[in-house]
Amino acid sequence: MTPYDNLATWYKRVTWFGIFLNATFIFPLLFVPQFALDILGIDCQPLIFARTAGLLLCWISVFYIPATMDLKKYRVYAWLAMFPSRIGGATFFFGAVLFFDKPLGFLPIAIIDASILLMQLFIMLKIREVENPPKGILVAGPSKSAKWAKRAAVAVVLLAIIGGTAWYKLFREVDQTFTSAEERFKYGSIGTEGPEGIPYWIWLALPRVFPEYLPGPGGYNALGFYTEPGKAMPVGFSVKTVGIDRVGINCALCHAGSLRYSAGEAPVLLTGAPTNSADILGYERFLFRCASDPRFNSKTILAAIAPMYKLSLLDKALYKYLLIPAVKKALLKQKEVFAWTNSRPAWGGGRVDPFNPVKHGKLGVTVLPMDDPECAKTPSFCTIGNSDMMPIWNMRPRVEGKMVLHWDGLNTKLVEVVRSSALGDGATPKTLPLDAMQNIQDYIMDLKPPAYPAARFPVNAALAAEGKAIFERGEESCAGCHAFGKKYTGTVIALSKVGTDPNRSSIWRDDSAKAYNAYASSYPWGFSGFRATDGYQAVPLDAIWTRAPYLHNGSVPTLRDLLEIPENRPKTFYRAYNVFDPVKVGFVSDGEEAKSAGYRYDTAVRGNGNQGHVWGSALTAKEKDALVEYMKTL
Amino acid sequence: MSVAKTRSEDGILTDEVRESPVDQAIFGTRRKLLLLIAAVLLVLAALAAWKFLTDKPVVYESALDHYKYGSIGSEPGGSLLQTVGGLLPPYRIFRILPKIAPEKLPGGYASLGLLFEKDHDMPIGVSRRWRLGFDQVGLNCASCHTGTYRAAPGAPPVIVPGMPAHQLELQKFFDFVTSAVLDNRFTADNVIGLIQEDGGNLNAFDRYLYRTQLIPRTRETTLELRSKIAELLGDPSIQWGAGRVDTFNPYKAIQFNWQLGSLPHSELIGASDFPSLWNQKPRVGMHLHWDGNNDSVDERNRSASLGTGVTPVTLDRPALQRVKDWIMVLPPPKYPFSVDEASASKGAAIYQKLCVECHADEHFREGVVAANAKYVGTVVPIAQIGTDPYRLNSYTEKFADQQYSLYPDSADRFTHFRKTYGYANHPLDGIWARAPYLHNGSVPTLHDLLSPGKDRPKTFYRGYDVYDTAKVGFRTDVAEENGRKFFRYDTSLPGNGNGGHEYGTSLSEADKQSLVEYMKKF
Repeated sequence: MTPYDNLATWYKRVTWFGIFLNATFIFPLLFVPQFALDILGIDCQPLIFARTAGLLLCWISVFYIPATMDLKKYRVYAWLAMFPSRIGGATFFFGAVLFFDKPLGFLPIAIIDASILLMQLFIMLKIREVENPPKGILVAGPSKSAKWAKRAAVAVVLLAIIGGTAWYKLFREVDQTFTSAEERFKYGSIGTEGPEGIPYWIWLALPRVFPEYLPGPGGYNALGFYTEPGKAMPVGFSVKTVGIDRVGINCALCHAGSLRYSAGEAPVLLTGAPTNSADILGYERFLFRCASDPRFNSKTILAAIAPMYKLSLLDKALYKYLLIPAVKKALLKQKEVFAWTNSRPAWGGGRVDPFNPVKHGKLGVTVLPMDDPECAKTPSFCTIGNSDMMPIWNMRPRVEGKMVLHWDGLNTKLVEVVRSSALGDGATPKTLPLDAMQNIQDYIMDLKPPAYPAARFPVNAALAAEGKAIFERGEESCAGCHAFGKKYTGTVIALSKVGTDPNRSSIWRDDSAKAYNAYASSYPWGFSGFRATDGYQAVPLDAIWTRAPYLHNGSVPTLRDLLEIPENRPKTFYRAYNVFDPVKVGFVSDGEEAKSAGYRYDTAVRGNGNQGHVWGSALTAKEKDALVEYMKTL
Repeated sequence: MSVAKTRSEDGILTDEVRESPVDQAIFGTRRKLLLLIAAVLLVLAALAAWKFLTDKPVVYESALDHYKYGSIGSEPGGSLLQTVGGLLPPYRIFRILPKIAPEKLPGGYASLGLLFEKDHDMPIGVSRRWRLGFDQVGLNCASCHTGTYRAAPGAPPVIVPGMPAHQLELQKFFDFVTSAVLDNRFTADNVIGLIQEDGGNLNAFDRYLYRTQLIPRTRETTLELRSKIAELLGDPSIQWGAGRVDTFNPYKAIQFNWQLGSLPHSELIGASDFPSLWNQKPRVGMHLHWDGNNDSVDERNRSASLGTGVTPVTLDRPALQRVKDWIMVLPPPKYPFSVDEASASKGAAIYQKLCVECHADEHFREGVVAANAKYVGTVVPIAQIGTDPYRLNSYTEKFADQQYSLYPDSADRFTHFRKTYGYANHPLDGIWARAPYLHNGSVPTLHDLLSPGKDRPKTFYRGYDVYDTAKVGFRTDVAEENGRKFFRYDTSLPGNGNGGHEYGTSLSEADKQSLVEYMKKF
């Protein structure tokens, strides 16, 4: 027996073995297709397709036979059996399972094709060797450079495949689509998903793995977020595909509020209103605690994802070896960046320190822990900016009236305020989507504030008319500072005059303003409008009934309370409960329900002072009631 | 035989000495041996793949058998390395579980109200499916939605598919299964020994897998499950009793890992009756569940499946679809005893005046919704209906918000759940078989329901299936039969209140009897 005969015999055996394996698919597929599909876990309706597949497989197998009978004569059949037949099957079905999440049942087909292919290829190459024996004893190999060229070519192909996959799975951006500007405002991207986004499945798993780090049961909404009925994400969260689906936050997280008319009713969403409950720092701290926990590892997180969603093998590997460790690392780094908050009072639901994070995280302005010895020497290093969110509707009259923006009026250009807010939320100058920011700006320019629900809580028209007279009465009238088009409305009132808690004003000084104006100067859209002031803005009161608690730091729960002298305003109350109080105008802030749904606000805490703004406190009780009645209609 | 080659930087050194017949014999044999070993390994790998990757339910020809015994995917699944879903231990272990801790369940599964039929070793509602290398069991719709009645204590029980399982002690069932698995006697030796006695015929490989994989894993998953719902099993103030389930509290813990202990205790009380599952077609678009929190039949079905141990990953969608197709048109059972037609027609007139707007009439069983039934399938505010509020309050807005993340990968994502603030009006098809009444099963008979709340029975026994044709409902005075103890229902406990729904309570006694007589025809 010559070496050739030997190899040909092996070729025959391997090929017939392959045909036999094919037959184990052919006959079940042809005659009992449902049975075969069930075993493989494959869905295929109508069954005629499964039968057709069986039939085609049968024909393909028949074409393998000639080469087994006379390999010399039918050599081309042997090569065709490998290319494209076996290699095609192997590639197709491996790809289906690994990249396109098809059932595992396709894998055996790929494995069979690949194994038979390798065996046949091995034999055929051997046969070529035998048929063309090396001449002489020493045969010249390929030259060095040719070898390197071959290696380089292989490396390039491999790199292209790896690079392409990496780009597809990590960087490929897919545009979001929305049916309305409002939807886009609530769920659209402002560019935070790339730099600070959390892969969707990790985001979904975290509250299920670490419920003990949330303030109570309820997933993320335990942090005061609000989900519209039927929506996958709470308002203010955007899911964008940057390679994989990632979760980021947007403007609506802070600038959309929920309010219910009574405890036994579903809430209404007030788009553009300040949130009374979203706890942004609480959210960050929840993520930090998760990341600090040793259970934040691939095994635990993937186990929590497993019952919800079947990741493809590639995605699973990506999550396991790349994404989960990377998210953990990024969150722990972020935790360090946020360490300055640890020595300060928590922001609490509905509040934010709007600029210390940017000063510290992006502008390089010194922000020290409150117990740092430097604080005594340089108080500006140790400030507390905890304050309420602001409404962002009706921007047109604000812009046209040249009103200042932010509580302390630290900028007057809406375009800069919108863009810098996105940077504060986690976007970077590089990822800042200018078009999306423009969309938001256009949307809030003419976003109308909600009208008072007078059908539900009738307004006493006579009383309101009396209130209107009081509102507009005298030299230092309410209207003079708080009605659109009046002299002081939208201007900064000096701290010495308004007398409210000075902490928020103290966080933004000239050095910060200068730094922010320089921050994005290398971009065509850089900032120029930041400045420091020494007071607070006299804000217009459109839909003031939705904007409780009051004053910049949310230290006064209701409008009626604000009309009392500071000593008589509530010293502590419960905040973040969303049931409306139509009498005092604000949210219900005492009682068991407010206590269990909200958190305790203590006006004695630094930054929480409820002093100042004593205008109206000298009115009679009846006048105050009238004034409040009128303000409902604003 | 080929040549031996040595590769070097400069080329290939070939050595043809091996062409000798001796070499041929030696190397040829070795190669054949290697190929043989490779082939054996390939076959073994194929067998292992077949054993561990096969996902195959026991399939039933008839839709009725599929409903009663077919798998909807509630058996543990996922992958070998990451098992997900499932509430019950594997088939072989499930069978012998009562023998592990005999004192915990002396009467066997039947004493918990699980229904056994001839020729079936598993009770109705327990399905079998080969998954992850073993014969597994799971629950299906029929476990909670198949009931029995008897004409008299001596009569054979009639099994009615789709009827509320008023006899089933589901809480005790979970309590038993989890505590038996966590019992000290649940050791590999004991379990394997009992399985062999039970005719398990485990081979050495399977015994090895049971010992090293299956038994430890079963303990682990049970421990995890039990610790998640510990608050619902250990607390004497939280008793579901026969025929009731707390739908949403285990759901909070199992699906979302809510820490039940940090919820207000009142929200953990949510036990309510199993509803009937027949005649779903005319219910499409109505507010389903007792509080009407969902108006999609499909979502309701997929949500209820989660309660059987399914996860969005392990659900067998075609199998569930088959159940759905069947219950869409499953007719409600006809009242099996005689009806006084004269009295019933008087009752029909009263019903038309008092009840039809909210509950539709007897033609609902044929799929016809009465034209004047304008409130059927809508939610009545709690202040108006006045029935026990606990079940309503246990379903919260935050919980609904989390449900929207279920089945996240497909068009199946839940979007229809809503927190409501009342209870829904349900159609009354087959109402005779749906006793006890009100959402929490606090009123034993239709006749009692027509008494003012204060005059309704304060305590009674549930789970006994002998029918009371006079009052229309089950007999409630039997505390024990053949060793099975029935559940003493105390209406004074939180969640068990029998007040509210005072409609018809001011009728004369004769009118009430006519009304009840009429409702037998539903």
